[in-house]
Amino acid sequence: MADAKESLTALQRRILHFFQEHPQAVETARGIAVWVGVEMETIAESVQDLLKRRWLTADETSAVTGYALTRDERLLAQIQNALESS
Amino acid sequence: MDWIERIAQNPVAVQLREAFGRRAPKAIWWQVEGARPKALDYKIACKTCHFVRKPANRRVCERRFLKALEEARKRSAPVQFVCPIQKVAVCFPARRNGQLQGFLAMCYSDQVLPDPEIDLTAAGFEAVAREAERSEELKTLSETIQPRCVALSTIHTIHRLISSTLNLEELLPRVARLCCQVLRAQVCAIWLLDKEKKILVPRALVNVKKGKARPARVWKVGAGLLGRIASSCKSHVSPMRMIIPLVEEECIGIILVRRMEKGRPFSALDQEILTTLAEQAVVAIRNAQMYETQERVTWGTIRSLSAILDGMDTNSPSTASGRQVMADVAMEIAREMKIPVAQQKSLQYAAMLHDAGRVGIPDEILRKPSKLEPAEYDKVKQHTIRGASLLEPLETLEPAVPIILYHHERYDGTGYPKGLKREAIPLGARILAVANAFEAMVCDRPYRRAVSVREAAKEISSHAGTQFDPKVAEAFLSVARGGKLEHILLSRSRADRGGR
Repeated sequence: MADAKESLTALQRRILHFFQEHPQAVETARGIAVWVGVEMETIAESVQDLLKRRWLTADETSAVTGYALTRDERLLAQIQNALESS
Repeated sequence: MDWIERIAQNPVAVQLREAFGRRAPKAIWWQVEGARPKALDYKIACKTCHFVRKPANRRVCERRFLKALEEARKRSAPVQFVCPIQKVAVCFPARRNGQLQGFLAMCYSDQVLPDPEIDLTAAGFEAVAREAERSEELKTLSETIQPRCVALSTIHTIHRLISSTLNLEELLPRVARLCCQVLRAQVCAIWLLDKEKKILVPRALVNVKKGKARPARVWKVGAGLLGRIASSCKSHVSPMRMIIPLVEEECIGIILVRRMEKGRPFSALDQEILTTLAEQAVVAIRNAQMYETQERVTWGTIRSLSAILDGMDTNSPSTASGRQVMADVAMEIAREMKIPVAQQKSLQYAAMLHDAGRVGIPDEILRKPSKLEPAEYDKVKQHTIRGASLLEPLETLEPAVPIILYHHERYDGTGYPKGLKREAIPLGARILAVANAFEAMVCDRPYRRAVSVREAAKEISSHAGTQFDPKVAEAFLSVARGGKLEHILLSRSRADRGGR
């Protein structure tokens, strides 16, 4: 698992801000890219890192993967701390 | 930040004020809130203007100033006036969507300001106000529309997620998980209706806080809250709990979501969202149920075909039971290799029908106890092609046909019918080749005794890279090490004894 204290990239912060503003959202990588205003190709690495931290969850089928914000309160607090400190 | 301050702080307005300042180096700028102000705040003015430091003078100044503001309000235009100490002042009305919000005003100029300059500055402030109005509109629009767009996009993603699986065991927990996520619910449970027994059977339960939740109970249709919802097809909504029937002409199940006691109650929008999700879930559940029925029918047909083959081809070294062993072993290898479920099914079907093409090979060849002549062997080799062409018209078996056609190919290219090499041989066929060889070795044949699982595994291992794909052989050996092969043989032998 990636270290929760590792600093976040600007893109990761935007992704987390999006999910904090819309905690009910379930989005594809393409959808996230649209909401944070970047090309889809640039988003994969950031999303994977957030998945490793378990801050995002993934619902995966052969056709599509839906990403959502964790419901774990301990991890939500970690996200808040990371966004405030970085 | 209120409107007048927002206009005053705008960078363009700041520049306009600075430009004005060239004519009045000691200019005092006022931000006056309200269309009809009753008093002025002298905190800033006192720092520059000695006159207003005395409260009595301040009242004199204020009277004059408020009179000018009232005039500006009535004229809806800037007003220039002279204050009690003969300094020149200008007040600019500031509007928001046509409504006067207050004034920006300047005083303490030693000279009268030219009208064109005042008009230009007023036009500048108005442009700033219009820009602020537009940005406010955009913000409101974004705040209103974006959450709806995100919700719409989420519903679309969920639709894709739940419609891309035909496996109920996978589908129902996924629907429950997604409902919890979208509705910020703590618990989601799904029951499906058993029409024959008239009961609601719990099929999925997700509890976000506890991870694994206490299993839900069975409900009789018509009895209890859930039973009544199933019979009436009417939703039940309370602040912390929503129960919605899954309806397709008639009720096929129930979905329940619950929030924590201290949480925010469900809204009308939440109910709308759950209803939409339930409608999508119904379609996905019905598709999965129909697919399961079709799968059962296909599997039954294949088993029947396999049994018919036994009756037609008494010379076949493989029996229906042996084919089942082959199918079970092939499936274990496929699972070990993490092959997709759909491909595993094709492999299973192919294993059950792999020697269908032996029907039609002359008896004298199949019964021949001695070594076959090359021409005879050629005929035997035709069974893969014949089997494939026999089953090709059955659409359900289409993915199994290449496996049947190439299951006698060898990894080194010395097999038949085409002498394909390595990865040119379909993976299913490479797996079936190993399962076929294993079954042939461990099951008794009229002309030789069976060998042990250990010996068979050793034999397969020694032919990895020549007869067999080394990766498949390795997966097979891993299955063997796990003791699953003995288990397969034991359960088949029990089934055979039970069938007799």
